[in-house]
Amino acid sequence: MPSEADIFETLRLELRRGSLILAVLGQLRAEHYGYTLRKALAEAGVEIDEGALYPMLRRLEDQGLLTSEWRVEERRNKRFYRLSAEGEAVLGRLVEEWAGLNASVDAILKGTPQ
Amino acid sequence: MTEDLIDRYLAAVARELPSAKRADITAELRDELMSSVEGREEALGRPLTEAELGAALSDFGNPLVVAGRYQRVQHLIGPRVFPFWWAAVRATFVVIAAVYVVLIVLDLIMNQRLGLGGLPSPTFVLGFAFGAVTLGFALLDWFGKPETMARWRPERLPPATGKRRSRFELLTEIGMGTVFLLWWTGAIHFRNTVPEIGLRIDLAPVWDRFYWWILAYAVVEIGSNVVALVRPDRAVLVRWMVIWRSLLGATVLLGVIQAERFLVVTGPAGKAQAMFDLWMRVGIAVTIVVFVGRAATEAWRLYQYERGMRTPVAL
Repeated sequence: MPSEADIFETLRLELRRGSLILAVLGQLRAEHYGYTLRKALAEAGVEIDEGALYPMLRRLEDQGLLTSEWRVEERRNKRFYRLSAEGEAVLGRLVEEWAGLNASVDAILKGTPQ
Repeated sequence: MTEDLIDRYLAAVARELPSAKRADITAELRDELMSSVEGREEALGRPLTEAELGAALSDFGNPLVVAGRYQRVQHLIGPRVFPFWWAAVRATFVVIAAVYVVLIVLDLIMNQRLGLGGLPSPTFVLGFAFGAVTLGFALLDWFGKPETMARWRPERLPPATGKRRSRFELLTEIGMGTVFLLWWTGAIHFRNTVPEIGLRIDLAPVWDRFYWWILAYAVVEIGSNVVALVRPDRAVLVRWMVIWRSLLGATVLLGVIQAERFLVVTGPAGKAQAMFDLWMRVGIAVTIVVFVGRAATEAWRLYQYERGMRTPVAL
């Protein structure tokens, strides 16, 4: 039987999974390469490990939400990502959804159960 | 030293990546690793030791796991297909187990004269069936349209009450019917000889005359059970199929019972031929009565249903 800590960790990961994509898309309104993106997210309080971030960036690019290009910076070849026009539109809709869901859940959590 | 370990790590990741994206992905991971190492070295004010670099790579992840996250397919059976796969696995196992249990019990009753030596072991069949079902559903998950599996119609739900044959019963009958069909068409064989005493039992020629009729009976029996299993709402159709197959069975056996011999027994038990035939004659006569009785019962229930005397639930 899983312990309370295991259950909490599983639920925490489930809760974070969807919101991480939102955070990545939001952060990529400005151009970043992987390392600086991860740093920027961490500074904003959203920790994400490399193993999850890079495949996610590929997937989002394959879906047309990001564009990328290789450029040399600081003597090394780096892949820079940025939100595409389609990504902007999808992000806008996701933010609305997020705000609505957030408000609803907040109201439930702060209100008196019926 | 630093670059050597990182090179070896990236080579291990690269081996597991699809060739088309290998160079691109490893170049990006190299930049991440190098940036990360440089960031740490800057913070520490010294180069990383081999142990520290090893720990950093270890944290980065097992090469197989890191590369695996880039694969398009991340699971063998996804959550949309899982309930259907699990139901199919259970049904397949129930059928196989039921068939083997019946065959083994029959074999024990007949003092191991059924000759199951030609059949593969149950473990092999269960393993093979599990693999085949899993592969089928995995292919459906990857290349098919799994969302279509979840479509269903409430009107096809079976009645909430009333006596219905259980899934186990239906699956067992389908399994046994399939074994019979395979035996009847010669696809599988059971031993019909006891070499130690030179005994051999064959079906008499009368059965050949009804080969296609018996084949049709077996097909309709399996068909009616399959319909009852997958379309439990089609109770009327199933009843018609049962009536049709029962009448067909009774007719065939009425033809068979006219013959003098039903089995050809050769060897030391040849003298018991008359007794074998008597048993068969009694068995066939009883089966004819059962068939007619079943057809009549089903026909009476259908008549009541048509006249509005019986609700579909109780059908």
